[in-house]
Amino acid sequence: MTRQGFHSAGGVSIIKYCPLAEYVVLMAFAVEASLLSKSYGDTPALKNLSLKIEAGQVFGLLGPNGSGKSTFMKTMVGLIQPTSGSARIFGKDPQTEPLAVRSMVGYVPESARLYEFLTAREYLDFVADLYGVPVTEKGERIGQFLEAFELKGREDEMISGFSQGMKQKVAIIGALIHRPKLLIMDEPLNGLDPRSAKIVKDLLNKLAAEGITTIFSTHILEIAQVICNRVAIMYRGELLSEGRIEELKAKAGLEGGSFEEVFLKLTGTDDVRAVVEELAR
Amino acid sequence: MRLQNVRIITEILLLSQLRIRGERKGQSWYRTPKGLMAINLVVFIGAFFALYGGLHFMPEDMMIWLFPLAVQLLSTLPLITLGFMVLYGILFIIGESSQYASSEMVNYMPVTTTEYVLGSSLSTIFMYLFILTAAFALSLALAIPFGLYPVWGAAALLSVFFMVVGGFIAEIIRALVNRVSSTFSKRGGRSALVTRGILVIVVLVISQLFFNPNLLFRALQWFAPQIQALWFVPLIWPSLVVAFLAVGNIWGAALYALLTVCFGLALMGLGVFLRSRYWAPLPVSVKLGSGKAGTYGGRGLLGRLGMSQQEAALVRKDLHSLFRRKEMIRFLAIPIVIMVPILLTFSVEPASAEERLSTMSALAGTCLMGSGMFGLFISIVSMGQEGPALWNLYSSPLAAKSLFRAKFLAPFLVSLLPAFALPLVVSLIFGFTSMWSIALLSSSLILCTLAVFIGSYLAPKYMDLEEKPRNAYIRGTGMMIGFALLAMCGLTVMLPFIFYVFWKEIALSYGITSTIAVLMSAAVGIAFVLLFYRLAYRAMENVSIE
Repeated sequence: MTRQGFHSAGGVSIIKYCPLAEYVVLMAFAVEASLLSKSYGDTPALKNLSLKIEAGQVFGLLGPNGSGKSTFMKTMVGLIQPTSGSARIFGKDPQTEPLAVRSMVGYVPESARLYEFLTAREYLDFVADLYGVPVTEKGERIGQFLEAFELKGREDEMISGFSQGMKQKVAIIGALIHRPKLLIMDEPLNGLDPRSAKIVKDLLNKLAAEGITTIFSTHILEIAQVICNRVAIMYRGELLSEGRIEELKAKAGLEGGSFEEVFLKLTGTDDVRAVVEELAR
Repeated sequence: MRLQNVRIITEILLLSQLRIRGERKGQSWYRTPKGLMAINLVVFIGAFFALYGGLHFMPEDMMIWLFPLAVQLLSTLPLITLGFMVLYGILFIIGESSQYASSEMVNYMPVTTTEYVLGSSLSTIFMYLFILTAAFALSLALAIPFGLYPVWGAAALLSVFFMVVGGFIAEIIRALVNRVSSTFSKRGGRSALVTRGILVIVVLVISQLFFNPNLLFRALQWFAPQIQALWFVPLIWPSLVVAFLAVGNIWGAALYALLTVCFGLALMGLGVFLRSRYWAPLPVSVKLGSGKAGTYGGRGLLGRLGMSQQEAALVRKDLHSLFRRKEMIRFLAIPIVIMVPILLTFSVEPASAEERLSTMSALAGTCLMGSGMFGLFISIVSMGQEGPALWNLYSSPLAAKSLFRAKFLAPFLVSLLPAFALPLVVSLIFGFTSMWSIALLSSSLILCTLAVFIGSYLAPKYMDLEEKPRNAYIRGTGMMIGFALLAMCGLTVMLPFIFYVFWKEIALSYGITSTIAVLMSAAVGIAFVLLFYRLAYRAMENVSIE
């Protein structure tokens, strides 16, 4: 039972009263969305979405194409103005305090477009400057990330000559370079080879251990299962279900089933087998 | 070559150009090939009746004077069409996004380069057909009162042919630009990229000079005053056809018509050959450094100019964008391409004092136009050139004030060079007095600043982030408003000075000396600068990514 909310230095915290344990838990929320809606003309992209994500979690956003995952993420960064409802990132509204929010957030959009006429090093230098990373630190940080993402030796090439995977790595480094409190990544593993995908997965775990909150969307359920503390399943702009994977299985009445079955049942696309058989004829 | 493929490619490229541009993208009726034809028809009817109706009110003695002008216009019509087509073709082609060159259908579909080049040329021609329809209408309106029907028919036919030839010449220039671009890109290094930029501009300026009808005739008349004496110059052949027809020499006209067709076909072959030869389907990997640990300096020069870390980073990025991207180089090239042919027509030693005054005034006007155009062109695309990478700015903690300062400073720094150089060079070559030189230089600097603010005001309002099929960076409406605002403000700024130069006696009677005229011009200029500074700042504040 929630008793009251108040603003703390790190954002909104909520005192949760647990009658059985008779103790009070202090929880900090990295993200709070309340009745968030967004429409493009007559087409709704988000419908009254309410969601709270605790700080330090790796939170997965799952859903088929067009379910509103990217719109939700862009709203969190302040790139999209919601039609109604509100959002808070560590207690700050992305619409009224965009600069404060963006300073705390690292964002990787789906198929990130970079400045292709810059070299990888120049691009990262540019991003570091935009986020105000001290000059004394940025060289070292850029070097470390280039090394970790196996881009060493290619950093002085113009990005236009990079493969999609290499561009994705540069975009991810760009989102991490200023040590964000919240990392928002839209399909971050797209285009990455298995080795680089493993690097990103390990990195997310490490960041979570350091208290950095990560929200990422993916179509790959196995990845969500392995690295997410909690997941939300979205469909046609609505939040269908949210919680730990085991909780979702229980909610769907599929305790012994696979996560894929839960996903398909919740999103109403469990009849795909019939479609595939029809197509294969 | 399969004509069916050429037709399909032409249609697809035309549709992609029609649908993606403008404020209301989509499938409105005018965004279809039929809509385009309807617009051309309206242009034809409008232009025809405007001139034909106007001629009815012309006195008889003026009509006699008009006859040689009509014959001259008809004989140069194909060449004028060619000149326009080459200019538009160049500007259209160099705006092509290199990002999508590798995804063009010719790389992975069963389409030959010849088919693609033909389709690409034809789609460009259809897009700019209004040039031809307007030229047809005006020349027909001039031909009817003098009964020059067969001459008009021949001129029209040759113009159509030369429009197609212009499309192929544009493809040849495109191939040369690709060649220069890829050679220097492969070589890598920062100096190679700058050299590439300069060479691309040189190729474009030379191409434009070569196909500029005004300069071509001036140069050729210097060699031979009679057009018939220039029978060996292929570009003159269509004019000879019309000239022979006008005097009833059918065989002469037929011979040169045949030669014209052969010349056109040869150019088509050359265009296809060069495009196939220098096709660059994949982006070249360009290395710009040694791979050793990079140096990350302090605030640098921009910091000392009062820029913050964020602003300086954005200015550096925009300067890289301007000098490294082929599609951005055109914004440096366009003012040069427009200015050089105009400047070349001025005589260094005018015959009389009166002529000298008008030459100096025209030169000053041209100089100011150049300074203004540089500033306007570079600043008006400052937001649109971000393209889909704009999210980098919007997702970062960049305040509107910083965005405004950086987006102003980058084009301003670049525009300062021509704003200084143009008046100085012109003053030296044409022997301006020191008073004229100072007035010109200060006006040039004020106009350049004003142009950059006008551009910064319109850039966020009319930015075009689309990259396919060609980068525009600014919507047509925005560019037209920019030109109109710049012309209006520029004229207002110069009004006191113009008044003093051309009505000196009256100006002096009102106590307006040369110094006061210059000061008045400067005051008006500064007032405009302040006005557009505020407008530009507000526009940057209100910009939205959605």
